[in-house]
Amino acid sequence: MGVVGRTRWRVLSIDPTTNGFAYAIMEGSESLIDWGRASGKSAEGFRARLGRLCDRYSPNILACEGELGSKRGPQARERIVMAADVAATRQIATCKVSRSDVQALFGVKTKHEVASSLTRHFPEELLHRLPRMRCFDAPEDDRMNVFDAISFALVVLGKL
Amino acid sequence: MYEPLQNYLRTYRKRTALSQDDVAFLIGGEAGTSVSRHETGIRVPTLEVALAYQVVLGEPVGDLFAGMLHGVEATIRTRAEELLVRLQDCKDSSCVVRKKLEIVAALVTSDEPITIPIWE
Repeated sequence: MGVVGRTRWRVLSIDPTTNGFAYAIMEGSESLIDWGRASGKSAEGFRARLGRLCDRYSPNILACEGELGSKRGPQARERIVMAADVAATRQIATCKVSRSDVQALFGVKTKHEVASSLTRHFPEELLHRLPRMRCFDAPEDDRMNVFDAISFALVVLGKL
Repeated sequence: MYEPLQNYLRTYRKRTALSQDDVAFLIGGEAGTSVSRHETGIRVPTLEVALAYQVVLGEPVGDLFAGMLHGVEATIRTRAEELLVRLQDCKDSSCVVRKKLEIVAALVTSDEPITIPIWE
């Protein structure tokens, strides 16, 4: 079979953004099933959108960034807690990942290096979506959150 | 327990970078909403449309609808077990019955996707 296996973990990983969240669904470390950005600015919208993703894909694990040592703002932290709650109501385990875990897995330091590494791993899916290298004074490209979500999922799958 | 998704249409479509509207146009659908319904499993495509997905996305129907295939395999295995018992109870031991037993026993025990040899 192609991307489909029979004894794999399905991981949903998310990375909250100001307008919602970026997500990735993986089945084993070789199969990127779905990815993208979901809107959900309000707390209710966020819960509903994440709930729909959980119901649709029935993941075994929800992966997200851990609060410990994270530089995320209060809203993102709140959304991570909310996501864990949404997962818990559906009996989905939550696994938190730190930036240092991602850096250790990929052996690189910057987000762009991680994203570039991911495009080599999933060229068909991601190569045409890689943002340009960020200028020091420019805001981060929205697409980068999707790469972050994929990297969280890979860290979790690497630990299983 | 891991179960494959009902279908992987969205996965393969996103790999091709085609939009739902693009795919709908290629397969002769009215709009992207019909593709969306197939992707979310709200509707099951006809055989003709399933084959059109195979052509457009370049993947076998069995991979595109892996969850459905999994369910069909499970049902066939259950039925094969029943048929095997019936055949074993049958007093006839002709070549035809022995051949049937061989095929049906393979269906029961196989972990691989079920394929029945037709031209033998």
